[in-house]
Amino acid sequence: MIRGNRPFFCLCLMVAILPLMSGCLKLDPFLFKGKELTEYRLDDYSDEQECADAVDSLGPVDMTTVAELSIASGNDSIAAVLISPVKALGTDDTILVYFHGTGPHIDFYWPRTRLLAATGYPVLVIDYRGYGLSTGKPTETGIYEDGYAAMRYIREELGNPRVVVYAFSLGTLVGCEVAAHDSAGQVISLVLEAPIGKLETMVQDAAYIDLPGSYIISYEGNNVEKIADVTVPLLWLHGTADETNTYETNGKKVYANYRGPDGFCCIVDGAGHKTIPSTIGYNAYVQGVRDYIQGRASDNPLFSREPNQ
Amino acid sequence: MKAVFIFCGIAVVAVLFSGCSTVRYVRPIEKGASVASVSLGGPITLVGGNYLPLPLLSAGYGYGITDNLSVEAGFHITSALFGVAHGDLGVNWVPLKNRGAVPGVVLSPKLVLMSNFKPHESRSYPVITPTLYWERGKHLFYGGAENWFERHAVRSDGNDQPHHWLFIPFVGYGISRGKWQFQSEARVYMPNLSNEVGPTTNLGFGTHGIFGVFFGLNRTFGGGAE
Repeated sequence: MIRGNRPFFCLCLMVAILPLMSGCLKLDPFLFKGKELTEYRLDDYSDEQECADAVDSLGPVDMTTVAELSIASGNDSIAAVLISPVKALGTDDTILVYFHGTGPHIDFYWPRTRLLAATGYPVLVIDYRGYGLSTGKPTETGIYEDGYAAMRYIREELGNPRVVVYAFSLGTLVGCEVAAHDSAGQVISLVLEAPIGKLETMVQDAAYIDLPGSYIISYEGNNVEKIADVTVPLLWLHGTADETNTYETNGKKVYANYRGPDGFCCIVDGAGHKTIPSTIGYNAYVQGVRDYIQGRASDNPLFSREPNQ
Repeated sequence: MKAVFIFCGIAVVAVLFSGCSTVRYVRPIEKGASVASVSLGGPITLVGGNYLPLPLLSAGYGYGITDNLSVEAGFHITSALFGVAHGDLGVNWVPLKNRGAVPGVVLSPKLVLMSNFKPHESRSYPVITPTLYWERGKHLFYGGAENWFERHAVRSDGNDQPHHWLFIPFVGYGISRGKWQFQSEARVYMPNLSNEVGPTTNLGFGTHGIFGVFFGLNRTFGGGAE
């Protein structure tokens, strides 16, 4: 009898010991796909880029309008690139700050940055800590700190212009954070492209069953909650075929919880996670962003007050 | 290219949690005998440019109450590494033993339990698995389907729960040597559902289902075998 029960006792022992040595493993670092670089190549970058063909239609960038910057963020230094057709900005000017997705660095998102610059407004894009030329390791609170550092730099070093925050995918966590806690009153508008609702939603979408996000990640990344504190106008862009941050479970929840003064949405039928600009058409996309910033969203057929899907 | 690797680690492990993985006790366990097992395997997902079965490690134990009824328990070691106690408890009932070409039938109701011991974060899922099996000497062939039932109408992230029945068909092969048995199994997770929900790139029937493979080792103790 004892001999027959030996495996059972071994199993009980394993069950008792394992929890004592476990519980440390979480997959938070998988959120970040940053890669270090030794230099930015911008127009000359030849690896994979998002919206790469946009550069073909835009032509080469005027390098006299481009400046590489280094911004202090906590104990780290984050890299940024500014595209500005004017040398000095003032409080009457408007600047776009671009918080990119989880992709590796600014070079990867350079065509997207160029598209935003094609609106005619200055654009500041940052690499989060651990990305591109930025130092450090990315964490949830770390990238928020980087977002605040960019806002502080704009306020203190770039003439304190009005800020339109344009955030994509992972960057929407940063965009919502700085827009919701904008004590300096810099932000005049928030644009969220393919936003994350909650990081927990990503876990649940992938699991099919109701699996708590905390089983796997410790980060919260809760834009659904944070958007309720945003008090500036909002533009939400989402593709109906977004397979990474699904339209229904992410963007729609964020937009539904927006309590601010003026919300517009742009739901792009058939667009995937990365393909909103190309699905709309680059010219129409640039015109749409420009119209939105200039307060003409209601005249542009891309935009509506309520999601049409 | 679909969804690349964005957040893939998170999604991959999420899939791992949603599946029984302990070695299936297909052969009836003899009255008074017990079987200990380990298994390794998981869904096949694109990781670092290659499709790989993901490593879900589990241990199990079964005990024969009668020649047609056994109890079993499994413990999921990979989940434990994430601080989640994840196990399953159930019975195997063999209403019909294999005779010649007529397959044996095994019915296995189970309860899968998961908890990280935080408020509102424990989960339980009833699972029922009918299996057909054929024994040919030391060779064992089997096939069946796990049926998971999700009872919650609303997920904990506030979204509606669209799936209440998860279907995981499988086929397997086992070979015995003395008290030891090696078992391999191929599964298709949710062949009726899109595998494009979530950010992973999974191997399946095009846009549906996720293939999985498992390997297991059993050791029988007691009963007539000793």
